[in-house]
Amino acid sequence: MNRALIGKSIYEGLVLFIPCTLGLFAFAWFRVWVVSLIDSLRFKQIIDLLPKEFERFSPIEFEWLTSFTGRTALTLEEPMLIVLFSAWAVVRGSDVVSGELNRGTMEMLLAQPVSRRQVYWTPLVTTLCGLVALCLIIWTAMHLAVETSVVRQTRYPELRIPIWGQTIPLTFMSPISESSPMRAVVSSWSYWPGVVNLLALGVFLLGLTACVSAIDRYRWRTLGIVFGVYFVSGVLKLGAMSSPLLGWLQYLTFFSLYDSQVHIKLAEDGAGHYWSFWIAGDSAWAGLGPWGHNGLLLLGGAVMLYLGSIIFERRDLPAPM
Amino acid sequence: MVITEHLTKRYGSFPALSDCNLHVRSGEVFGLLGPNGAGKSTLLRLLMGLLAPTSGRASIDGLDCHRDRVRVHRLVGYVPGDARLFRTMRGRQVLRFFSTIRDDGDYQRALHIAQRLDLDLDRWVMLMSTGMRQKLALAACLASEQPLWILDEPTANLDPSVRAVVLEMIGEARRAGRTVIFSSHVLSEVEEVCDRVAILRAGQLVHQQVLAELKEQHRILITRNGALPPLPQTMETGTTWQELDAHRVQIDTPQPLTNLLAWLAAAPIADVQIQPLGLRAVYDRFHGESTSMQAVP
Repeated sequence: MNRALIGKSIYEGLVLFIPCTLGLFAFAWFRVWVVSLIDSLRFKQIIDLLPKEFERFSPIEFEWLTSFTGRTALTLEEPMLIVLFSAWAVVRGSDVVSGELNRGTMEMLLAQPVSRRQVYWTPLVTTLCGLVALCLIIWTAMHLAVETSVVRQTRYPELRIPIWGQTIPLTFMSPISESSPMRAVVSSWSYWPGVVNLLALGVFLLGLTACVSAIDRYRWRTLGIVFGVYFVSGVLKLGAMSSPLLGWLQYLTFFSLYDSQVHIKLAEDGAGHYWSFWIAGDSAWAGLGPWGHNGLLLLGGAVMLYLGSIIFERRDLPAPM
Repeated sequence: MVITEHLTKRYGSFPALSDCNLHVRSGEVFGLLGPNGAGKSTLLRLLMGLLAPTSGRASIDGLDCHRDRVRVHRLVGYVPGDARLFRTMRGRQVLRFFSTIRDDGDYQRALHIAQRLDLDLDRWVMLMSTGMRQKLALAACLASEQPLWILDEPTANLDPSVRAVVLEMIGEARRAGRTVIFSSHVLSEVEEVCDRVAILRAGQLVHQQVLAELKEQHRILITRNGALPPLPQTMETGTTWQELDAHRVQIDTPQPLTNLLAWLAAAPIADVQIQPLGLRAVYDRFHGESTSMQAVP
């Protein structure tokens, strides 16, 4: 890679990277902190009021969502976080070819003794590093929030029966409220599977955008196409979840492969399912495993990145408009 | 140095450049002339490997312009017709970038050229005028010791004094043994700096002219009183004859004028003007309003 090209892509990327970093850090930290403010018992009472049909909009049972781990894991499913994270991949990916062509700077760049491969891959590698950095920032924000927050838990007094070794909650009595550090009830390490899944989604989006960018000559059109695919995929996922009749829609959207809560839950269960590409049997998790999801996203992203490279290598360079 | 063999570029059925055969010698300043859409920029972009030829080939110093484009770019300093630079950088950053991207980049030389072109390097590129961006592109791309410069309308958008500096730089490049390919719409500056020119029309190379030969040619404008006698045989080679109207005739000839004077003295002539034949006259043969040129009657 060329030193000047690396410097240029970092310099141009910083304008977006800094706000993305600040936004994602603040959001992830705030979201986990808000969880610490609401008592799990109270949250469970709210969830219990929801009709059972609503559960199909969640990839995971409501019971787990009422735990502190489940509720904090929802941070990685928040549309605001996903959109902001995706924006980095899509905006930087679109700049690789059609961005430079649109601004007319590609001609000057390619008139220098650098290969098209270098011009294509240098900003993409920088963007990939940015994706990894943003994932680390999200995890760090969640970790710091867990480390610094205090949770209040309400529970009923319990009666311990000495010989049986069992405890019985005395629900007829007034509940007891106790404060404890959040780290005592949640391990921030449990978020890693979700964060890795988010990174895989970012790689896929970067590949998709870079490939469209390599074909196109207008950046606005590249962004339009990619965001169009993005939102249609989002709608397809919602459609697939809304009714068993529309379940087949899940095969048409890459968002089916983004399931950070399930990944966190499976890793937490520790049954070895987390590392599976495919989960056999007829359990609730049967089908593509977490590493099947990640693998498909990473493979799709890599294939599209490579395809974009081939297209850019062979295409004519139109004169600046 | 630069050779094109049957070089052709088509966009669908539209021929942007057809069957172009060109040979630019080392150390030569070579001009490309033609109106917009004639194929000048397409030819230059094919030489830079930015476009793939539909057929034929182009080579620079024996290297294929498309397949070996990175090695070709080491030999070439290229300034495009519409130079666009990184808007979020200042002039100085742009020069540093271009001197770092090349192994043979020379930042100090780039600064020196910028100073010669009277360029404010502290200004953001986004705040620069078209002319300032053009100057910045010249400073950025011509700072290395490349043996070949390819300049696509380098003086467009420049004021007369900076234009003169650019022509001076081309002259210096020639004296340093560099080859320069230079396209322009300004005939006077092509005439001033080029050794040879090629004229393109609708994607075809229609004429090549050595400028030193042009200086030996003359245009004779005659207002006649009656029918002119045929030209002497010694005058016929390379001479063109054009009837401008019922009374006026224009003769362009590469022959020595001594052969013509006796003929003029005997002809029924009211007025005669003799002037050196400039590039304008050659250009107009292919792109002028009147192209009813014919061989000597």
